[in-house]
Amino acid sequence: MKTLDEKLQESIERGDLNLTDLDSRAYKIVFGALKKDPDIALKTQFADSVIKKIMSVKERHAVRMNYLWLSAGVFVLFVTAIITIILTNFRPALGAFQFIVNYGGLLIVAGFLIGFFQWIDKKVLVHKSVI
Amino acid sequence: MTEDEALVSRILAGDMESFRRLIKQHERLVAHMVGRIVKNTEDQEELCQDVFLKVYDKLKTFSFQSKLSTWIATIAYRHAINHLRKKRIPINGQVEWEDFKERFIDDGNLEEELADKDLEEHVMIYINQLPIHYRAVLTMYHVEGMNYQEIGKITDMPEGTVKNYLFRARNLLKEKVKKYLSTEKCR
Repeated sequence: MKTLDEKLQESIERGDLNLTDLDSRAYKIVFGALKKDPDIALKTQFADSVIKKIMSVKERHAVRMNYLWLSAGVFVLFVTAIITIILTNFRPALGAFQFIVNYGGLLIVAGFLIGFFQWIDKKVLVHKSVI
Repeated sequence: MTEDEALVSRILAGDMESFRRLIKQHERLVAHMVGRIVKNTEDQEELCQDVFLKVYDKLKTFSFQSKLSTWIATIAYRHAINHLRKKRIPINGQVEWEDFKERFIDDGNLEEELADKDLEEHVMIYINQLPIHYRAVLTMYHVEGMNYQEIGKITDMPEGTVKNYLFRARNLLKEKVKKYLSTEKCR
């Protein structure tokens, strides 16, 4: 059996607005308020900011995947090199460049000079671009 | 193919414009669900964003067993409830009803005289003082126009509980308004 309040709620929900007692008037006010939107509004560019966030997540994911593939490639290369060395019984040798062994000092000076000129070159280029 | 199915398949094919449309169609629903459960206004917008990120992420698992809006509302409801749990905010699922009812009706009586329209504004404030599940159920039923079955699916409550929560919440609000109206009569 339904209580008076249950009956009243059903009547108001059906749109029976002729009820005039205190309970009915209170229910009418309550039902009127319940239909109103809660006081929360998202900013107008809400959809844009969600899309932007998704794109940045996707980009981060793509970069992570690239690094993962790069690491996998380096690993496979390393493993293949080791297997090849073992299978072919490879011994490192300078071959035609054997003569370099006799000019170790010259090699170090040449390396140093190349590095130095590269550094100078970079400095000058940076300076010019600033000007 | 329904409109929802066509929209979802376009999004899954990578069409972001379609996803923008999905957001526009459901942002009001998500805002209402989150806004009625989480009171902190700073958290509300961020939570709404998270809901749509989740929707985008899980869209491929949506099997059209329910309406798209019901599925999105379920994600929004659960995300908001989880947020409260993480922040250790009591959810009041099992409130001592009689104690709460007494406190709720007696608290903060209105001293000024109000027109019915203004009183409706005060009812909006009273709604926010109800336990979380009551607020959520009221919003889904009255603002979003969902039926008992849909609300039950979203909140994981039996239909009987949904009906009971709705009845109790409206009854409580009525008692609060009635108290004001009867004091108004005595003036």
